[in-house]
Amino acid sequence: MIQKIYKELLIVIGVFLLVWVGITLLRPVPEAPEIAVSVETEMELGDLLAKEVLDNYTVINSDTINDAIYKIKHKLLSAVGPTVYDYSFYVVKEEQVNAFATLGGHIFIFSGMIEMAAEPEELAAVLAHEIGHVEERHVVNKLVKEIGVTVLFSVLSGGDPVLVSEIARATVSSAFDRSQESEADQFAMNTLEKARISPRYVASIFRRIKEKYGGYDERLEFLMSHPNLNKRIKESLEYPVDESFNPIDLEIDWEAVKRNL
Amino acid sequence: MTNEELYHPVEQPDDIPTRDREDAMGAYLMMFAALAAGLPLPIINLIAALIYYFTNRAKSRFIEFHSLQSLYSQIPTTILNAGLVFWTLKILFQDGSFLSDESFASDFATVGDVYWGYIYVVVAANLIYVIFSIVGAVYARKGRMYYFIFFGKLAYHFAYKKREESKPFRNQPPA
Repeated sequence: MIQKIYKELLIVIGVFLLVWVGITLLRPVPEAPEIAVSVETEMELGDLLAKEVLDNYTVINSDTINDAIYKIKHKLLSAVGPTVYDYSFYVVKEEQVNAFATLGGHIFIFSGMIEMAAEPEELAAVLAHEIGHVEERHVVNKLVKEIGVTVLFSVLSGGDPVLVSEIARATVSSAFDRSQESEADQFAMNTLEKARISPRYVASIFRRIKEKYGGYDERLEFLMSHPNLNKRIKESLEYPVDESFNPIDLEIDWEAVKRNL
Repeated sequence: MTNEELYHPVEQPDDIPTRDREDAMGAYLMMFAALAAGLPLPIINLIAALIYYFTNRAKSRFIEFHSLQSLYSQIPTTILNAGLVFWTLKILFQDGSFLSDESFASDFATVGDVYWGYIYVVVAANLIYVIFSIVGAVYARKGRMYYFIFFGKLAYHFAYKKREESKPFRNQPPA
């Protein structure tokens, strides 16, 4: 009898654990409600936040760098097609390897990121990823989730400087979730392909980051909210590219760009 | 030793008086009232079950069995519910998130996934518990045994196992 009792206890515990693991893997997590923030409002907020971010960093103004960024931006946006966002790219003096997008299409690139990229195409891969976050409205949804729509709107009417600075900090420091990162990766590879830049550059910049930081680094949350860089490198390498795909090099003197940082 | 030697025989429906059947049924039904009262504090129903068991177990083995089965079967549900209340309060008061993206185990799931998975398991466990308790109550009212998986055998073991009669203490003259 005792043996039978133990056997049934094991069955009960086993079933419980299996069901828990099973349900967890099915991911029944309810989607956070996506609250409609119009693109116009997002742009207005974006301008406020961009001003705040720019106050805290030194923007590098160099014709060589501006030309290079313009070329990459032009190529990527032509591939993206018609978009409601008016993109602005800023290169700021900061050694950290980072790039992030705030609301309304303002994208900031740290000089450390350019230093690390061995080729302009690698930077293009990072920027395509960030454009992906903007186009898929991840930035605005992340802020709504973290800060709440009321606070976001209150900034517009009052412009409380402490609040603006707080929101700007949240944009810079907080991470996207796994599915959003994956969507931005897919968007980047798709855009790069259309721009006739090899989508494999996504893998090559990830690998460079991995080599430098050995996998996961808190400072790199912009690219990896989760320590699954290997998986993302693999996905980028497996991205199907048409046989007739013929990449065209970006005509940028990358060494000159680096010299001007 | 055979089962007959180790355990008392189970009573047949015709041998069980209506009063005993109602008391046995009460063990399950009382849980529902206690469960409702104890919702914010999932420990109350367990205390009620314990009191019910201790006040009724001496009446008959049939009542003892059903009270024990009801008591045992709600221990895991109570622990699961308490876990959920604790986890939820922790999220609320420690500035956590119900949709946390924090990795639980690399490439397996996030803490949010595990939390929501747990909610579904707890809801399922409570539903199963309620259904089985209703069935148990109906069977008890009819004077029948009804064994839940694991808890049924455990309750049977403790209610029907023959206990060795302890010999009364005898005073002895000095040695």
